[in-house]
Amino acid sequence: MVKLIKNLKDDPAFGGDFDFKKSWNKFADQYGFEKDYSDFKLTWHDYFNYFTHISSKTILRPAGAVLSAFIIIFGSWIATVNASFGSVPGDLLYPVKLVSERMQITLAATDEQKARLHTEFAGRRLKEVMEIAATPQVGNEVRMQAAVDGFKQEVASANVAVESMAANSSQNADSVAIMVDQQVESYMTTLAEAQESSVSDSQGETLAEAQVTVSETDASLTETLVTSHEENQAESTGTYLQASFQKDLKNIDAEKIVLEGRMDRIKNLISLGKISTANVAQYQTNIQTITGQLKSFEDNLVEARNLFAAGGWRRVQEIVTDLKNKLSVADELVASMEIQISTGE
Amino acid sequence: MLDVQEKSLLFKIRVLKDQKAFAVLLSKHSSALQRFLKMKLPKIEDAEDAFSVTLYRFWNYLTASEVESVSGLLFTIARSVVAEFYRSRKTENIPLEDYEVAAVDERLNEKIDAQTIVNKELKNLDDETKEMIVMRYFEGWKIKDIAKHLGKSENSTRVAIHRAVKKIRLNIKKCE
Repeated sequence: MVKLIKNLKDDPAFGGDFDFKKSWNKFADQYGFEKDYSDFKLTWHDYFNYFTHISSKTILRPAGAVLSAFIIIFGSWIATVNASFGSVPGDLLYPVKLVSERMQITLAATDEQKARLHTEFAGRRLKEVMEIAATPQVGNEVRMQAAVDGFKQEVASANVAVESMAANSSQNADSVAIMVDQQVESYMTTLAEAQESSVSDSQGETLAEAQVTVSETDASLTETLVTSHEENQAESTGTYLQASFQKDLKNIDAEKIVLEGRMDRIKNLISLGKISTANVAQYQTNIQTITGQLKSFEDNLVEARNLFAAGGWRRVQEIVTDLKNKLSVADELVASMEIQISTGE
Repeated sequence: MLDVQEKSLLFKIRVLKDQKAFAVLLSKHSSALQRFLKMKLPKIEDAEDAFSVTLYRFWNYLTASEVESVSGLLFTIARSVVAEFYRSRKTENIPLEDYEVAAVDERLNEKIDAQTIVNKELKNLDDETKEMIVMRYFEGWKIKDIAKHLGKSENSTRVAIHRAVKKIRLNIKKCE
């Protein structure tokens, strides 16, 4: 049946007997086209041109569009992040700042990068603390608490990263620990300045919390460096520890002298009878206790200096930590007496 | 879907205005086009004129725009050329002898055999079914291409072709 139908293919009644060349020649004559096309052949060059055109259309143009969109989005994000750099807790753009920092931490591939970033971010939090302290406004307590919490977290995270580097015997563990320790020491100075300028008691307490964290981190970093030096005897850690402990011993000496001077003033007031008789006995007991402790300082400092010269870093560290703690307790005691005297209680 | 060769030809036509590439492209599609025009128009001369007009319009389109379906566009233009032809001759009376089909029909009726019956039955089909049969069995088009060309569903096209063939077969049996 199909064969019978197909037999009619060339029947003129069904449009058969068609000669394209003849029709083309007629068309070419009518419209001025080239008649002879027999020499036409598609070459590799034609295919290449076609594929170049297609690739530019299907790959390069969409890729260009995607790139443009990316530049716009990324550019906007960069602009927003840049604008957020000056923000402090409570500002509209502050979360953007934190998110960009989290992203940087997430993208950090090594503990070294993380330690450096956390240290840098701790510095930012501290800067925020200073800015909040310098611009009194409603809700500053909460803002400062948020900044200090962030600071404590960053300092602790930096310390964790350094410990991780040390535990993995990372090549740059010592240099990073030294860098972080130096930064942490500068934070202590900054926090002390901020505490002096803090406008309220609660802000003062918040900053004191931060100081405790910084002290703990400083001790931990020193411990890390001492351990590293014991294991590797590297010149860099030796030089750093030497300078650090020299400074610590000098500070302890200086603080001890200041403390003695403050106690002398209290004793002078007692001898002049300017202290309430109800408090005199208590003050004298306190002064006696502190003086006794400070006396032992001399021996401890001598021991520390001797050990220091012999390279006994761990013992020096223990002595320094102990003396710092004692000074801190004595300082608090003297400060409470001074407050009582100044308020007349 | 266009093959790479056809796409390359279209690219040469559009970008380089290559007339030879146009001729090569047409040589693949013109058989069905000619058949369509000859079946739709009363005289061979009319079909040839319509063919030239269709090609010229097709050329203008190809050199100006990108094309997704060569045959689709070609037949769209051809249909509009046919429609214009009949609009322009609306008021004229077309003599019956103008129709080549009628003349051929008579000539073929001289011998009554199966082939003659097939011929006669095909001519008696309505235009659309006849076009389907021609595209399917003379041009070798796929069902889906015919359906697309006529704006029908694949299923209805397949059924229409099947019924037409079945009807012709029955008529042959009756005559036998």
